[in-house]
Amino acid sequence: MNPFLREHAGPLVGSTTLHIALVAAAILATWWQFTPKVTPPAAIQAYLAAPAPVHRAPPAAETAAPAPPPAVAAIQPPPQPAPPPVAAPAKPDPEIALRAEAARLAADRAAAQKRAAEDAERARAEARRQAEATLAERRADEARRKAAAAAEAAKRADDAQRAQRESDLAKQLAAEDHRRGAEDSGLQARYASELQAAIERAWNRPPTARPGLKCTVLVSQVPGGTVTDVRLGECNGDAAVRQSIIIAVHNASPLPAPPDPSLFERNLKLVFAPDD
Amino acid sequence: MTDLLRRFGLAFAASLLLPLAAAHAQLTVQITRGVTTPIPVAVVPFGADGLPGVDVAAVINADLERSGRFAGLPRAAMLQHPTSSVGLDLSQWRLVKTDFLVIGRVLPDGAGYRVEFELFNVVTGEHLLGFALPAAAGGLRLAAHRAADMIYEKILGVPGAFATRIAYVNVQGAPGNRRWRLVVADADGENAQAVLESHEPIMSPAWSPDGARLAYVSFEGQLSAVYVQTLATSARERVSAHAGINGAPAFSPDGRRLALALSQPDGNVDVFVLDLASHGLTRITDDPAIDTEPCWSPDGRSLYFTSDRAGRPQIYRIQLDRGERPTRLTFDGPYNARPRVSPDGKTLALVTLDQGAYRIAALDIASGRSRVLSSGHLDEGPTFAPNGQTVLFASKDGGRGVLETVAVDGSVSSRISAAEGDVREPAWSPRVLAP
Repeated sequence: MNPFLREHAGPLVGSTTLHIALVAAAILATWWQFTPKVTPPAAIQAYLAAPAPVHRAPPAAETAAPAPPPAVAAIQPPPQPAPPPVAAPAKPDPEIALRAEAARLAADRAAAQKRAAEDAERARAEARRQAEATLAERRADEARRKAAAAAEAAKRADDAQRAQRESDLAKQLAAEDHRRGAEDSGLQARYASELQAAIERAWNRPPTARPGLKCTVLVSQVPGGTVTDVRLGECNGDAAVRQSIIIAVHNASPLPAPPDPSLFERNLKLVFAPDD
Repeated sequence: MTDLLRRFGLAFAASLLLPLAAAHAQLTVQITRGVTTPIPVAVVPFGADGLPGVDVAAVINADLERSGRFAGLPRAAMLQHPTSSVGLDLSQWRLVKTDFLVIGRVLPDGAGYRVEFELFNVVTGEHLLGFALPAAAGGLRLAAHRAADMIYEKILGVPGAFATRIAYVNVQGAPGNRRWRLVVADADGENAQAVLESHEPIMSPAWSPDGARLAYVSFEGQLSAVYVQTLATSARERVSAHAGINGAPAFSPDGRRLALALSQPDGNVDVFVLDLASHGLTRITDDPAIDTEPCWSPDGRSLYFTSDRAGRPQIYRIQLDRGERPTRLTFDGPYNARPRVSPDGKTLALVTLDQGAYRIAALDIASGRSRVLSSGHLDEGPTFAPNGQTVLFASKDGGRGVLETVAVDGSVSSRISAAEGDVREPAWSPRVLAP
């Protein structure tokens, strides 16, 4: 359908209907002026009633066009009063019949047009929905495209930094590799066992340090092995046990040096857990 | 998309790696053993102006060293002799590698003294103890033992057992002219006093739970009988003198009963319980084998004893209130005898035949595992210190009986005294000291 028509179908139908109704009313009025004064008793009613459809038709048409479904109820009456015009021109019967027929035709036409208008409106709403759906889809596509573009841009912007990071990481990994090499070669295990032996030699176990005891000690040392700080963590031992542990670590200072300098650990965690 | 995933994956891997690397920065070391080498301690001579007699610091130092858990700093190695904490410089003591420092003074106090002492942790600088002990005119040694007990407990977490006493049998003279003495001495072997002397054998001294009385077997008149003697008054009562054997008395934890080994009435030795007030006798075991050397569990509800009902001497336990058959506790080796239970009721000290030698062993009652503690050839008569840390026993040194102590973990041992003659059957007093 022509976009213009689609856009303006409602008003067009409305104004067309209005014009047709006006023309019909004018014809009726003229017709009526020429009709001699025969006034059957019912005529007054008819008379009173007659203009109604005429007058009402235009507003009916007017409301019909813009008004969506709810207007249907309000519009329904006009076709109903339409018959009165049949009785209203109470002059010569044939004329009245003619006019009534004309009015009825006009009303039918109006109703048909209204139905068409409603159909058109429904079609239009459907079209709008479709258009909206299409639009939403288009917008989503757009958003996706923009997001991808942004990600791409971010990625490009990131590349330098990332390269830097990866280079850092590579260096770190290399250091780690060296260290791991030392660890893998059993040197770290040797370091740990040397530390263990040194501290066990220095730990004078009080009688209350029995299996089931578990005391964690955080030890700080500086290169050279001098103990700089001893902090008791979780410990289920009594005062004598705690004291013995702290003294043991201090007395074990300086702690043994690692077999490979890369294995030196500033912070040690000692777990005192006698197994016998 | 895949690119995104790859990027995400890489970032994820990196984030995993970094905390791991951080965690590596702290090495964890498990400490599963320790040593029981002596803890270095410096007991500085106490300040005492012109006061008589006792070197309190020397007594404390000897107590700590004899426990096997401490090594005293020789006085010659002390750079100073501080007697008060005023102006005390602990770093000086760190230099001579001592972990703990004891200083103090003896002050006149009425007819007696007041012993003030302080204990420092040299490594951490902590002031651990500050105490004043009253001492009677002749009680400076006892005050020193009490100070040693407090120092021991502060450092090791268990009470000391220095201010206690031991009883033992001392045999002197050549065969044919033997003299037996029942001796009570301080736990360090000092202040030894004979509470009974006889030309007939004296055996099996046992302390009452309040430390006021001793039960023992005496063969005066060639017949064995069990006596209970009150130490303060020397008054004694013959509580069991049945025909045949009256032996191995042991006070119940409430002090009202005595477990005994009697051959009455049928000549077969069994374990009985004697009510000291009513003199009522209750048979506990009834077996054709020899049941002897009873020992009360700390709760007083069961007895440990030696029996050869399985052919060789082994240790059994019988519940007193159940009428069940005794349970055998020892299965290691052909000979396990003379049980003595630890104050916590968890361990038995006993004599075991180990590689052809009679030695002292500690049996963990719950697990049934035992550990040989001594290394002599004729070790006998184990008795627990009231703190459960040490076992005292008799050993032979060049054919002469001596007393030795060994830590319950077997880590340290020491000779206690060099009394004249043979020393046998020691019994360590409970913690409560009779005046």
